[in-house]
Amino acid sequence: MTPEPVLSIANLSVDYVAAAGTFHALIEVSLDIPPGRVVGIVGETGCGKSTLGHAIPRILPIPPARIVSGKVVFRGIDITALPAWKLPTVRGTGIGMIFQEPLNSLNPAFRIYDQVAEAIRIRRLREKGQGLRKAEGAPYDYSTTGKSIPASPLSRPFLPGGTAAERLQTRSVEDPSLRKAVLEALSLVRINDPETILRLYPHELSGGMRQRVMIAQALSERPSLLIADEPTSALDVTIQAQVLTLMKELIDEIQTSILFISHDLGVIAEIADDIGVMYAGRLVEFGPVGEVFEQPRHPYTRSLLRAAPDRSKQEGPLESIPGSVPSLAKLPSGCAFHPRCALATKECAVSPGPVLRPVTGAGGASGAHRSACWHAEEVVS
Amino acid sequence: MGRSATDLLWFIGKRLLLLIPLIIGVNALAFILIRIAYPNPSSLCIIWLGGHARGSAILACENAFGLNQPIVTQYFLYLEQFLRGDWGTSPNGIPVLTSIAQYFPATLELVIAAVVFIVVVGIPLGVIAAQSNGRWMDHLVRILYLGGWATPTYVGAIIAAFIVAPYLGLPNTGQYSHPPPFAQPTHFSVIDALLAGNLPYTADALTHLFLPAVTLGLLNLGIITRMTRASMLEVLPLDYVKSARMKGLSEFFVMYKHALRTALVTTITVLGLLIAGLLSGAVVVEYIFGWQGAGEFAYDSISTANIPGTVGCVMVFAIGAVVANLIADILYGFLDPKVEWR
Repeated sequence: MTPEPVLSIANLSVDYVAAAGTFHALIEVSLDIPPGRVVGIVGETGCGKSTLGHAIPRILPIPPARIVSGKVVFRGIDITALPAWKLPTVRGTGIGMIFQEPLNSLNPAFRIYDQVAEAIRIRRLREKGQGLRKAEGAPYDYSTTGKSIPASPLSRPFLPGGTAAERLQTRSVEDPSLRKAVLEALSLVRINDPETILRLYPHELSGGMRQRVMIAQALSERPSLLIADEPTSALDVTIQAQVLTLMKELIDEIQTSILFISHDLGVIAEIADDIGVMYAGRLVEFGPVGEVFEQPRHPYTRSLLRAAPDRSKQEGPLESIPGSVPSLAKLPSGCAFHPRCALATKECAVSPGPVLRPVTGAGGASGAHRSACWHAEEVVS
Repeated sequence: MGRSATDLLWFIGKRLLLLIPLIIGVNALAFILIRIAYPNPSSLCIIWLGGHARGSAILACENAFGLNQPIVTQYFLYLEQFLRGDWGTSPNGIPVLTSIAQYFPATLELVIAAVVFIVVVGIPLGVIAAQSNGRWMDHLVRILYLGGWATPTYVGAIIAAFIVAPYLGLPNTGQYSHPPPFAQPTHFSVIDALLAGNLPYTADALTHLFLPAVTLGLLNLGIITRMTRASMLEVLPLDYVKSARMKGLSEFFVMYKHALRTALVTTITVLGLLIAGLLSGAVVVEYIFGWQGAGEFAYDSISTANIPGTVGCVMVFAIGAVVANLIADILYGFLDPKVEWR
């Protein structure tokens, strides 16, 4: 028996409407994230994986983006049907997010303490509002959240922010329990001596440090689902490894489902339980990481795996996928991958996009492995 | 070089020191330009003494004020006086400094009220316009601020004073309905009434202040709204706005705490320049609303060939402009933690 998924996406389609035409960024994507599981999404640039990450908590810019159809059900409530003013109640404590650019994802005008403390204050406020539900194991019952979060207690003095206003600022560092919670959040992400960075501004920290603060901030709200949108891509390789190790350790420590978006197969392999492969706005293959890597059931996944440098082997040139990613405005007929596919038949070019279906035979033993290829059974790794 | 309180004090000190050459320069320029506008000394004396003045009186006047000496000599005589702290005397016998102390606070009061209006209304309008970028609300806001910006001050002020004021039943002349029975130590109409503990007069002063301040504000908030809109549009797509949203903050806090905080940096700079312009630009509004401020004094000084009075007004406006920009620079540093005082 499978537990109720934390997040269930059904037939989600998102378009970008621009002067140059309509871009189908997401086409009929369906995906379940069970509690406590790490789902990795992999694909090339422009395949829609970031759009997916942004569409779930509805932070896509609308317009140009437009949710055409589909449902995003998070803990029993359909986010796509929520009125905009209720959305904040789902974000933060419900769905947290880590962004790609640690340079830009922290507000440059606020101290580290203030930014993390703000997140913790939001969580505490909601815990206060619905304290009873917490004892039942579900931190927040989003299905009954009828009103927006009272925002006024979060307001802080607006102007002072410089070092010249330090006296004013120290007032805010006086709440000892909040201070303790901030320090805890920062030590959770392995920041040694968090005291020293409390009073610093984001531009005074390194990229890796900023990403740690970002992770601390997101986790301090104890979200049920964490969306990590390429959290390591913008970092140096060494820092990347550190942050990745940190995330792996954190996954064991906290009970959070994670949607981990990356273009790096190696990263996904290390961190994810399940993997979804996206191509041209569609989820083309989905399954447990081991199975997908051992027995890819979509020609695109196979090509992607072959194109990834294998650290253990050092033989021969890397393979590349012939052709290039199609424009989302002018998708090929039938299966979007067929012009680049070795297995493509006439059927692939003509018939409408196949639906993600469970694969049979070897590699499909668990039933969780699904592919959107007419020839899934013919794909050999 | 840094961001400590001492750095800030040094920064302010340095900027205030720069005021000294500026004052001397503006002083020289203003005096000489106004003085050469009346090339004939006797014509000046006729203006001062009145049309019926006789030849001997005019001659005595020319000698008394040294009007027949070279202009440069006249300037240095004036400068010597000026540096001793005596800004000269108007033809009506009132020292210029006394007039300025009386009239300038009224202008400052009007400008401060207008700036409060601009900040409270203009900046949120810019945020709203950015939020609804390209939709009807954006266009509505644009019509409003472009309309205000494009309206000549005298047209806008006349409409406000003679059409809007009677319609709303608001006063349109002066600072009080009746001459106040209390002393006016600060010459800020609202503050004086408050100091005297006279609440009816305070309310009266506020209703008198309301319309000219709103008029001045509406006519000038365009640039602030536009700057706010433009810098908000730059900030809104950034990741930290998304991450503020993903914290679970309401849209109000995302906009006004997180996005506006950084977007304000450019707005503040423009606001400093705008205040400098408003100080002298309030003249027309003051004149139409019978607001007894520096604008009225400046207008009277110019039209009565009151040279020390005119120079005094120019000085005050120049100093006001520098101080407004200094304040804007200080606020800028508070808003942007990357700025170092230097």
